[in-house]
Amino acid sequence: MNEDDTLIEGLKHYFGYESFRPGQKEIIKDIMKGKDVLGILPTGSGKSVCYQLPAILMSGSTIVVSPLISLMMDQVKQLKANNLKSAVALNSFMTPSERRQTLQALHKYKLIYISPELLQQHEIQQRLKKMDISLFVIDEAHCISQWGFEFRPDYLKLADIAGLLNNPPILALSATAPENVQKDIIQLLSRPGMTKHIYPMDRENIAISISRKDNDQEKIAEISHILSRFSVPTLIYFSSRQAAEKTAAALRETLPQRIAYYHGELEQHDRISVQQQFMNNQLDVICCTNAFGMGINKPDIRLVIHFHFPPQLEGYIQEAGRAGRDGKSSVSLILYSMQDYFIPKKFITNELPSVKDLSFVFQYLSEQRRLPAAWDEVGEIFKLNETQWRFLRYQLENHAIIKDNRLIAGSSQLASAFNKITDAIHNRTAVKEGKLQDMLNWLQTEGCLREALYKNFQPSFRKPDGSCCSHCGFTLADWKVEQTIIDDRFSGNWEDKLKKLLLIGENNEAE
Amino acid sequence: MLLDYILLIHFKQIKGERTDAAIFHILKGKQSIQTVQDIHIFNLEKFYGAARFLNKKQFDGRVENLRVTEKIKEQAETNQFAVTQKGIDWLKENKSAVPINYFNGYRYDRTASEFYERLLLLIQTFTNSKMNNFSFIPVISNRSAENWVKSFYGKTIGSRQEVLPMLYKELAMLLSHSSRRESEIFVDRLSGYNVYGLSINQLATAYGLENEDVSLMLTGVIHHILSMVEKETNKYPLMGHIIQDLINTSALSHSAAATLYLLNKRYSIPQIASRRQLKDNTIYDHIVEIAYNNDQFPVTNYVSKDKQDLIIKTIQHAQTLKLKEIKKSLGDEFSYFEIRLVLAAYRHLLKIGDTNE
Repeated sequence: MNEDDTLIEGLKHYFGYESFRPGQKEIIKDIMKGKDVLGILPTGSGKSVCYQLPAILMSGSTIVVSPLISLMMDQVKQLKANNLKSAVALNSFMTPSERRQTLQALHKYKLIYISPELLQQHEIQQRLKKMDISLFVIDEAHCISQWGFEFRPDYLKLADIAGLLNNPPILALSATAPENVQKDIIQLLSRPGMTKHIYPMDRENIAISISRKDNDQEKIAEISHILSRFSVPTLIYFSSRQAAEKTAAALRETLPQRIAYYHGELEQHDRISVQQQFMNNQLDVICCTNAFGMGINKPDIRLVIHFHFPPQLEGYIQEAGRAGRDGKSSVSLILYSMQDYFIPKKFITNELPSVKDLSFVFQYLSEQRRLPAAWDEVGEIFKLNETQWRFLRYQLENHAIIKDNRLIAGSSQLASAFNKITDAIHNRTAVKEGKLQDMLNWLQTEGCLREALYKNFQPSFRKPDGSCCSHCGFTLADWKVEQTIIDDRFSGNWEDKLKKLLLIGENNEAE
Repeated sequence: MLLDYILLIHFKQIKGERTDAAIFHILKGKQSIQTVQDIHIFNLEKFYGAARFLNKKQFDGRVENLRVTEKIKEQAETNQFAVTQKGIDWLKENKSAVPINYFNGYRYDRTASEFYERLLLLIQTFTNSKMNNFSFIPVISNRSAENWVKSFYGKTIGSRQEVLPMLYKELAMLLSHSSRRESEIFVDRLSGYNVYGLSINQLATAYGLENEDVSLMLTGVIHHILSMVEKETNKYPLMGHIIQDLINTSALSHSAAATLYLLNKRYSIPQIASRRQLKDNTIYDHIVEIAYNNDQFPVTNYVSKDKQDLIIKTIQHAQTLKLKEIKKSLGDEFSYFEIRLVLAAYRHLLKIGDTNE
């Protein structure tokens, strides 16, 4: 069998797909040759197959670094459901005994998902060092760049960790990395010879529509109106949990569809139930925050509505890209009002410590000579959230102010570091505000939305399959789409339901 | 309403002797000797850990709501909330509507979630395997429940087709002891072949309840099931098998159990503390916890008979269960440990809350 046959055989056997999507085979072949690869593939194009298949086919273990714990856990669940049992997600939710067991047997796993924070731990590094690592995958690789829309300081240490693991080939993946971020990735991973596989992120089957509303009531009325005409699998994105919950309740009042909400605060049982009901067509509409969607491979989501727009175009492209993975005609609708501007503004401030926070931490450090070790205490004392703290701790380590939570710098170093960190806060704020401004400019574009959206990321875009956008004549009224039939499984009394659930044969029951 | 009802019962029992934070700790099942002591002296054992899903903000909001609707009122003497006549009347009016007697938190809190997760996973596994579907997403990601189901699945080879009918028979019998609505909710939450159970909020919407009440109701039904299975294991052999290794473990925390083991080997308190690398005070707390779980606890080994009498008299005289005040009346020769231990050993004698709500 030649190489291509082996790959397609593996794809069929392990994933049940008949053929590769654009980019997958090219990336996989380069990886199997031992090359370092940068892959930029649009959302929904099957990025994970690019490393999952090589991981299975190569000897040794593959490490996948991902910032999203819930995504990792979903992927491992999915792999296990596909009977690929040798995958594991190392995460901070594990009990000490689970963790010990997993670490001991770590070499038996083909695929090891891990967060960048856990990868810093000495114990885990020592364990991985002794293993045969065939591939080091960096998912959401844009997180390494300060120009990226999400910046994870811990990603900057990944080059050193690759060194520690005897420099295995690296696969860096992202759905959204413009030219300057691509450069950063290659440079900061110290792999100048990386082979680039860049694929366009525009989606020909998604029509884009923007509609300006005066307030939330108008938005809800519009959604009700649309969903009463189109009964299709729908995601509605919100910037807050409360808004998602409230709107789900309001929509349930007027619509026959089965509607639920989803956000990060749900208990895990509920998160899986809601996700799987949606996959299973037991649910029609999900009102959610951006916690929903990563790792959800529902091919026939037809409509993605943004009740609130995200604070940058990259986030929008990812979320809207969850529509129409099967290639059929789908719609992205943004409902936008002037007040919405303040929400992303607040996100930006919530993501970074303020200069006041910074002086408090410095004062604490010079008095106590050390930082609290437990995250709970940090939150309590400094009133910072985790994102803010991650940023700050990285800065403190980077400027040689602390080591292992202890103060190691003298007072003059402290003063100069204070200024440098202040600058870093301002720079990062400026980047985020620039991204928000790009989003706002796009929302107010008068020309073709598609053209204005993608010009930020790539030189050109493909001609859409059908309708282009609301500025090029598309209206939802003209949308031709297959409607789903709502069947209500949950009817009858509990005895009957229980009987049905437990597959107690009706045939054997007397009438 | 169920949550409000349970909160009011707490205020009624505690009579302003504790802050509302103490109630929060009880409902969250906090593992501290203070909380263990509180549930015993105020007769709130059944609600220990009954609302682990609650966060402080939700809790505070509910308490504020009880205050605004005048079901509780701040007492002048203690600055703590106590239930009002209006609150008492409300409790009476709604008594028949809430399944309070299902709860047995102190006995089942540790086992309830593990039992429930095994059951959920068992149903999902056996229904899917019956339909030859081996690629389903389990609703539960709990390693120990997974391992249990795996091993059970392995053991049933040869008799696998009997499991689902047995489950049906036993669950139908058990649920017939709950109200219709409770059973509907319990069943709608289950996942099987090609069908995923409803989330808490979906259930709340479907049955016109609040999210918190759905969670409480499910916890109550699970405790209820556990107590029926424990009492009549021969009637429910499959359920009995699921809980077999869970239920016999005592209500003692692991750490207190380890201390008890060493006490029985006649180690002294400082010896135990140094062996276990714990503080002496932690070991003292364990001893109090052990006393709560043993009616024949040898108190006199730790507190002289004279001292015991004095402590009891002081408590009865002062009509308070506030440790600080008791200690103040008793003076410096009495330690908090001695007072706590006497409170534990004579809990039946020293209760000041009503014993039946």
